[in-house]
Amino acid sequence: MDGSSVAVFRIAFGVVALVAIVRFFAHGWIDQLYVDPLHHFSYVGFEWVRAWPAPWMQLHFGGLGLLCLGIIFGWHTRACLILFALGFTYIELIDKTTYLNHYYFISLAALLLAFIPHDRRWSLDARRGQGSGWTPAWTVWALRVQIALVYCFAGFAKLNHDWIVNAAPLKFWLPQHTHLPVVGPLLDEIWVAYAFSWAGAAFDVTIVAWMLWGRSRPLAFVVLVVFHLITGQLFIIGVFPYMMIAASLIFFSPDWPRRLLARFRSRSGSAGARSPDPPRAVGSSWLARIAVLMALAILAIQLIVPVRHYFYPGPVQWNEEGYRFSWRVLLTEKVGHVEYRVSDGQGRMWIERPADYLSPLQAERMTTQPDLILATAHIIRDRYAEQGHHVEVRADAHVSLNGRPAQRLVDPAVDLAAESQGVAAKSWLLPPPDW
Amino acid sequence: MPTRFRSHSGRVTSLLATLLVGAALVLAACSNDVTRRDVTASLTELVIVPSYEAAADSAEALSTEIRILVSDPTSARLEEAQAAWREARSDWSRVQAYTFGPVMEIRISSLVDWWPIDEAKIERALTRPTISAEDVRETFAADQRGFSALEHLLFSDNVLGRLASGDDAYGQYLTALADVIADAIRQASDEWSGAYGEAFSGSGDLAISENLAIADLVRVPVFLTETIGDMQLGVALGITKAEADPTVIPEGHAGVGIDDLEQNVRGIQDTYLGSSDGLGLSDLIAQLSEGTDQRMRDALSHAIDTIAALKSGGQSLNELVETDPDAVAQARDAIKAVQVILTTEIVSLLGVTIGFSDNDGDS
Repeated sequence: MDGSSVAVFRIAFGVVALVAIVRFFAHGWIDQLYVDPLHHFSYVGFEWVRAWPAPWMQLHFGGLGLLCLGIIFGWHTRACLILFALGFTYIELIDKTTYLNHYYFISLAALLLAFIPHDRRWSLDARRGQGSGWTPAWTVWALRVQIALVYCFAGFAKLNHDWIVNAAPLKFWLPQHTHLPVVGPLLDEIWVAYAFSWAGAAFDVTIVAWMLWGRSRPLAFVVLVVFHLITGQLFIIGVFPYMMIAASLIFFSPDWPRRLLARFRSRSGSAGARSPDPPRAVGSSWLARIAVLMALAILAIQLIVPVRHYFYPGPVQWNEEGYRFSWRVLLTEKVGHVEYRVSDGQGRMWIERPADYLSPLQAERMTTQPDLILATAHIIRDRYAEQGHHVEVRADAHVSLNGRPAQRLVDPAVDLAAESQGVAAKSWLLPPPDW
Repeated sequence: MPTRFRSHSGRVTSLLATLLVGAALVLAACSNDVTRRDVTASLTELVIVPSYEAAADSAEALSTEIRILVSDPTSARLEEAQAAWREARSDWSRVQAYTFGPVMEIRISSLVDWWPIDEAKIERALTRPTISAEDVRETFAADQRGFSALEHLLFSDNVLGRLASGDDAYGQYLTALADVIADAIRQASDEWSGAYGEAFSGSGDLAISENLAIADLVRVPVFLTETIGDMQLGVALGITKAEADPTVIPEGHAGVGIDDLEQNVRGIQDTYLGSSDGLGLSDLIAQLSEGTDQRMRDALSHAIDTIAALKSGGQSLNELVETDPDAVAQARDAIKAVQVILTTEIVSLLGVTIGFSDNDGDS
């Protein structure tokens, strides 16, 4: 199969990832998110992942930027992709409060690209004779499946009562944009929230099918571009829209870049695009088989991870057990307020505020996420333990979900200092309101 | 395309179109009647501007009373000046729910309302041969200025004695403090009555986005309830700090700490309910959730009642912290209840971001 669309995917991925890295520098997020906080919320099993002290964190990001250039230009592409996937994932593992769906996608896409043949066209590696211009068909399909997983899980997650029947959370979010020209005044209308909710769910659930069907593909791509540009305008979601627009080009015929280039060259009177070299026997070596198996494993795991929340009691939007890594994109308006009642067992009780221990972003994000509420309780417990005091820590956590009345999220009688972190269901969570 | 299929698909298309139009009509009937712009415009005209004007008027009346007192230091004049201070302080406490815009740009808090004051510095300042308003504004530190510094001088035991004995610096300091307070509040009031108020209500070339305006109207009450609930009452009672520290309550000899609290919460209530013939945040919230609207109304009323009940014994807030901490704790709980509804339900329904983070978010 012509490898030019995979090459475009690689180049576009590198460009968008580079923009994401540059934004970390431009916004001062490296210090703000990784260097300055006194504590980080580690993932279970990855407590060993720590932020480098300054200036090594900046150098880490600088290195990732250089690796993006390697990916874009196809210079030692596989090595660049492996190092980028590891380096970017390392960053994402430092602190749960920095989790974003599209950063997860960047890690997955880099990992997938690292295992598939992609350096055979429009790369410095190809110029050194490492590529034939052809790629096995499964590479294109692997990338398509990766993107399909994002859209489908995001779409199915929207098929819930709040999204469809209540138009929540869009009915709260859209009125924030009434200042926009032309469409702004409409965004305060409830019917617009319903239209956006239903259209958004229909888009996510069906777009892959429309992109796979040749006859609908051109129009579907236009809709896809418009959809993502609108979401990019309305919500602060960074490079996500551009990543998905660029990535979705993989649904077009594998030779579309070459044909487009040929048409451009024929109009400009230059020589036609070079046809790809004859295919080599791809997939016969044990290395190629391992690559196929790894790609399959990466995709198969993603079929399980997003549905793991079914193993936990209660709705995932409330308890957030299994929420991350499941493509629940822009799905919930959840706001909380948390304080900790600390007691020393001798009749003294006082209140500790998360803001006194955490960065502003951490203090904001932890208020609605039970595992972070527990981790903060442990930070408080450990602080007093360092001073030689044994304390009990209970949480006063009130959360409003999609406009519902604020309710307690955590049983205020439970001493969180004595609870352990892990992936087991949290017995100290209270049930959600009128679900 | 076969004719039969075309005709069938035509019927389906007609049905779908009818359903869509019907759904659109039903949903259009549910459209929001009150807009954010309506609310910001109404609050500006009927609540914020009048409140700042009242604060500026009473601060100027205080300045006048101080001048009269200095020129005629009698007990009657002192009582009138002290009453004027109480009224000006009360009006100032009421506008704390709108401390954004001009008051931030002119850094008014360091001129008008700073706590704690440094009594030793204030006494040292009194040794100067002369004290002018310019001295107070340009060379004095924040802990030598504002309502609390003026309270220290105006409510001291021997104020009449010092004025009658020809202590010029004392009279000049009193006058200068009152003038600086009045000038600063008038400046803020003029901005609200003029360009800033126009922009905040959404008119003029510099119109502020209604969403930014709504965010300010929510954020400041959140910070205010957090400040008085956690930083003041919480610390004073030893609830938010292991050791109780009553000195954090900004209350001096006049003992108006309870009135400060009440006016702070009344200011939040003004923002929420709006004036009797205008709109407030309540009108936006009720469109989205009548339950939340009622809870917020109830929480505000309860907080005001609980704070007002503290006045019954005639003690100051600092005294009550010592003698009846449970009553003060109840008032704090009532204020915290307002804060919780604000930071969860109100923030959620209005889509307001409380912090100033520019981080991406996609979940």
